[in-house]
Amino acid sequence: MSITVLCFASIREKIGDSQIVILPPIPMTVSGLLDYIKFHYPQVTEHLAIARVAVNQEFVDSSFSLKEGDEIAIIPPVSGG
Amino acid sequence: MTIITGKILAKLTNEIINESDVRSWLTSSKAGAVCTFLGTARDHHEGKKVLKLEYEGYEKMALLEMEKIALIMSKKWELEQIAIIHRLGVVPIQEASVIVGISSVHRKEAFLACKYGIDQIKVNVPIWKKEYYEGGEHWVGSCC
Repeated sequence: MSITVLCFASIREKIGDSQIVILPPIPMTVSGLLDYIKFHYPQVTEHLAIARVAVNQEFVDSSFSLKEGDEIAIIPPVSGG
Repeated sequence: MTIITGKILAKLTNEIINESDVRSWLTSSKAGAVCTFLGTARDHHEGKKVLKLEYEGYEKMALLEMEKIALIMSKKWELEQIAIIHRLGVVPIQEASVIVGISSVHRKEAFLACKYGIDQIKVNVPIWKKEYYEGGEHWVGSCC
């Protein structure tokens, strides 16, 4: 299952791209996805610890199951307004 | 990008926020009160001199979250119109990065809803602020 993960702000800069395409094992939860990203991009380990995840523009928790076609975004602590 | 549904306007823009245009949109013959809050770029943060701000957003989701906030506001208080506009890209010092505007029959609801709106934007809307200092820059709220 190919998954595209959108990256923003500090995480985007640390990874060096606004989106990463990964091929994680299936099935996969959000928690598993974050572990997978940490393994391949260890430089964002601390960032991921304080980030949230959105799937199809809704915040989800770590147990959420991902499926092919989901739009996933890593949301660092927001600072709008 | 803009969402307009009836009495709610939610918008992201790279342009200067025009407060006068927003007030014109908010006013109606039924409203006795119009309240607007502007968040503006200041030149200092935690003892450091800030040269400019830059905002980045997950635009699709930011608009949806802004609309959600406006919908909650319309359920909590009797309001006429609600406008939430956030600027993205570089925001020079003294310029507005965000406007929350409310019109209502009476002023009590306008004041309460306006404060609620800006407080909620800071919680869940996926927009990030980068501060530029002399000799450095930092994403506000990031760990490292």
